[in-house]
Amino acid sequence: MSLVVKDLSKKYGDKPALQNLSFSMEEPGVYAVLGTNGAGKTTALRMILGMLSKDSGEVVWKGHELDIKTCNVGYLAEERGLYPKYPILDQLLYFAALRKVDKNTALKRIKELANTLEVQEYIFPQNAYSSSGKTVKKIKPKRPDQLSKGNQQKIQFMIALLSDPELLILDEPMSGLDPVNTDLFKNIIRQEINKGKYIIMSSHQMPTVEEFCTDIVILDKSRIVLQGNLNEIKKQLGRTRLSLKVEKNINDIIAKEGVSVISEKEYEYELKVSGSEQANALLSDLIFAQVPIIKFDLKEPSLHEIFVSKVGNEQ
Amino acid sequence: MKGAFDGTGKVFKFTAKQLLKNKANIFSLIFMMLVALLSFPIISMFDTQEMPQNTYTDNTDFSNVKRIYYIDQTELALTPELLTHFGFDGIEKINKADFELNRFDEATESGSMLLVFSPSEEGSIPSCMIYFNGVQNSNDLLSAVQPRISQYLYTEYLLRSGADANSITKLTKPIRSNVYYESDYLDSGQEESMMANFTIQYLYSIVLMLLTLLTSAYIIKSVIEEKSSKVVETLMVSVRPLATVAGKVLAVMAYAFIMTLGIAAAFVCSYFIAGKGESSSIDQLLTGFFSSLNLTPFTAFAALVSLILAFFTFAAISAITGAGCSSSDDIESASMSVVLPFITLYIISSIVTPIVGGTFASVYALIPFISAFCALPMYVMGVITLPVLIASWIIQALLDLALIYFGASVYRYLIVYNGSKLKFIDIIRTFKRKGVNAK
Repeated sequence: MSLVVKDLSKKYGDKPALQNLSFSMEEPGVYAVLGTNGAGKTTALRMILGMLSKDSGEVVWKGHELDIKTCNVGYLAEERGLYPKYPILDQLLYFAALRKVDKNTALKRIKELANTLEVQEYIFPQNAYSSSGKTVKKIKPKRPDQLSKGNQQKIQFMIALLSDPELLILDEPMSGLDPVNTDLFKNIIRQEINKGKYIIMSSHQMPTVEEFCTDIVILDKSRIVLQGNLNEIKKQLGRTRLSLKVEKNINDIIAKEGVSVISEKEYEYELKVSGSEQANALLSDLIFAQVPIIKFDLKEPSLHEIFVSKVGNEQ
Repeated sequence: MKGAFDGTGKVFKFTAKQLLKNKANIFSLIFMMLVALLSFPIISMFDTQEMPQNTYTDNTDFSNVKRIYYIDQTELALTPELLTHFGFDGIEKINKADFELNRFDEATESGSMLLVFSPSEEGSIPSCMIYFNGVQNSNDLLSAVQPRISQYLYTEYLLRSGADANSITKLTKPIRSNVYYESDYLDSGQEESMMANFTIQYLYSIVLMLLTLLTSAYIIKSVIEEKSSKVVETLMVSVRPLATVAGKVLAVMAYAFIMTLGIAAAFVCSYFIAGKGESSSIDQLLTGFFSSLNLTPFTAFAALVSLILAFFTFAAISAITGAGCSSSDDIESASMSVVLPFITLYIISSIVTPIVGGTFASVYALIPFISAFCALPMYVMGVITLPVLIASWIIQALLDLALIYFGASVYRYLIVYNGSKLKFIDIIRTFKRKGVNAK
């Protein structure tokens, strides 16, 4: 067992911030910590990292208490920040040095990451040259306060990755990013997964979580409302989502079978069925009524639906 | 504690580098060095008061003296011409063989003065006995003449010993000399000793005060920096709070010492640029000042150790205060939280230090915080012994370690705190309640 989080609890005054969070990661992969705003996700991640004191519980990494000494951990915090006035390269080298990465290795890694995240022009600016090859303008490296929020976020992501961490904790890694930069981040996360890293991710972007995560825990009001392997959870919940596209109105057939409609648009239906028996009955009715069927797709519920159903019910 | 200081050097290096790269800091340092560099030349422009040169003429009032006789029993072959430097014309040499000292009053007229120059003991300067016969205000005359005769004999002695003119000029700089009645002399000795003590106590305190007050805002700003820029969480997965706080405190202290050394170097350059080192009132003032300090290499070393430990104490208090803040808006009020205890301790020390003595002095010099101000002056004044001073250093070093550990604990506990500045008492209450550690 590489990572064991056992019975983490925390109160702020009398108000519980996290109650009995437990999970473990036996193998490399991505574990998602999900929840509504204020559910206790960031508190949980900070407690795992030892930044917040625990009222109870423990976090064990490969048999030892998780600590900066026992685990090479990379962290992208929810509260993003850099030293606003110091040169970016100085900061990257500083964080690399603190993680005991030698300067040459750090520079090599900074160049690779800067290239992947498309921020090399801010860290290693090229001087402007005239046609005769003379330096026309010497361009200074940028400081963080001269960058957009998205680019600052890329620099922070670089810091998290500089030491080639074994455990990567990403708190809302893609919040505030445009689709192009989101894809850049996703590519790097994919690379880290392929390298066999342990990743704990918190996010509100359910499709992204679904794309990467094998296991999840959903928190609501500091408590766990759902936990486990995502595929198994989906299997347990069954195939209850039916996407149906036909060429005429079938509202009477749907009503006859007692199926609830989630959405309907130009004979394209999203339906919620009780299971495969009800879906098959509906299919028989449609065939018997000689309704031309373009699409009939019985699916497992999406993570978004699972999340909304669990947290929505709680709320 | 093991490994808790890992990374201190890296935090120190990064913080110091950024402090020294900061344009405002560079400008401040250059400005202060320029002011220091110009100080002596500017003072010289207004310093028209030159010290009397090495001549024996003076305005001594010889109106009550009708005649001066001298007997030369030395090997210096003194001449009346040389003695005319006294500004008195009627000087007559008499032979010892022709004269009986106990008949001086009878042999000379009233208003006569006799100088008897006696040979030196082996290797020393000749002496001079002065006799008066019916000279009014002879004590005043004695006070006026005595230093000049001493200087005259010394010069002649050096000349005869083969010293060159340059050496003589250096060796015979005017000597301040007074004649005292015994009781007055004892009072004067105490006065000079008290003056030296006063200088040591206040000079040391002023240097400590300057260092502390000038750097407290820097330290607080440096400690708040990560929280206000929200980089603290990223930092805390790389280095422990203890190393962070210690590294920052040490970096600002080093920066302050670099600034102080730079300014001191500029003062020294300024002194020589202004052509000092010659006789001048500033030179006399500085010479008097440093001679009153009675500075030996060991006292200089002791002063440096005491200063570093005391500076660290208040730097650590600044760090604790900074750890209780979450925004740079709090720097000003946080600085006051350092200044007020400093001034209070300084006042207590200023009042109590000069009046304590005996065993209580040793105990007093070991009291944490107070010893930062009083231990060194008390040692230099001879009130406490070296072992007591060393004991005070050990106590202070332990206190400094405890303070920095406490500061790191507060820093750790308040990593994600985002609110107004916590009062010192709130910080202590929080610490007591939570019992957090600095790891």
